[in-house]
Amino acid sequence: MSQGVETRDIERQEVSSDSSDDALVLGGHRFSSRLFVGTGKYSSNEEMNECLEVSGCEVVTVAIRRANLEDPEKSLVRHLDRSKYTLLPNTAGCYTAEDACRYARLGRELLETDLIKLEVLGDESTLLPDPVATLEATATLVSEGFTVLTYTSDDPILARHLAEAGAASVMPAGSPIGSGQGILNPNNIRIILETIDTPVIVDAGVGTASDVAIAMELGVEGVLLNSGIALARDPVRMARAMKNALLAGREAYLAGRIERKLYANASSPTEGMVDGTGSA
Amino acid sequence: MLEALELPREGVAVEVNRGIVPKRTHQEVLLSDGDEVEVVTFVGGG
Repeated sequence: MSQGVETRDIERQEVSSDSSDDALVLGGHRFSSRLFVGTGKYSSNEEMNECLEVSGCEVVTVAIRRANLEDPEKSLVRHLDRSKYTLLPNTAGCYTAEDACRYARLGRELLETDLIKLEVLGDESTLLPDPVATLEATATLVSEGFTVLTYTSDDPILARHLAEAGAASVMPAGSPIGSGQGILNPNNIRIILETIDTPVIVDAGVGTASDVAIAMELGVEGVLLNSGIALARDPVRMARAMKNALLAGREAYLAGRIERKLYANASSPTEGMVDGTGSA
Repeated sequence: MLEALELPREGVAVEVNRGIVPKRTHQEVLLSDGDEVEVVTFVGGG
């Protein structure tokens, strides 16, 4: 491809033109939807379930916390249909590799899954990942047989290290968690896509539907979001918008956008103009 | 016994002294004084 930074070479992945066959494969898992949706911050479990349904997502993330044995309703166990969704436990709230690995093991026992969304945070105000601990925890969990989906910054060098450590997906933040700032540095995402063969999923920062479309048009394999839907004025409507944006962005990426040009290029014929009109 | 905690049948995982106790062995586990037991479940998160 000669279009520089505009498109990723799609030849390396055999993509069917039939979008119904456009599955996402992560480790031994195959997913029909490329939109991953979080379960936090909804005003009710009913609203959450309506949003999940409308978004068309297959993978939903959950957090692991101490069980309240007096009030089991605080758990999502009775509120998520596990025959419908693949639950992806996260290690949110962990600030060391050791804690994150502990939560991952609890998640595996709890949900009987090898999938883990690994996040090892470095700082409470930015919620940026701790790159050193994130890499260490990725390697540990890979060695323990987990399918590790690693939340990271958009640093291409770290992305390469995570891919080499065996992450099943490298998941750069578009912008800080919950910030709604969208994809702040699309060029870094492009470089990551050029650098690694591991599936890339944009995780965090999505504020509205166009952010999802932009991410997918860059050529990432999927988008993970939560606040963008849950905190919208009309979450269910936003869930639908996110679904449509993801499909639009994916289709546009597969279709291959036109080159950006500095000057105009008429769509209508320049020949056959009636005498006395048009340019000299 | 861990059984005495009357844990829900599903939706929990148990650690004793930071080691996972697999669900199938819950009924066999004996607790001693000073054991640290953690019971976790899954909640909303992104």
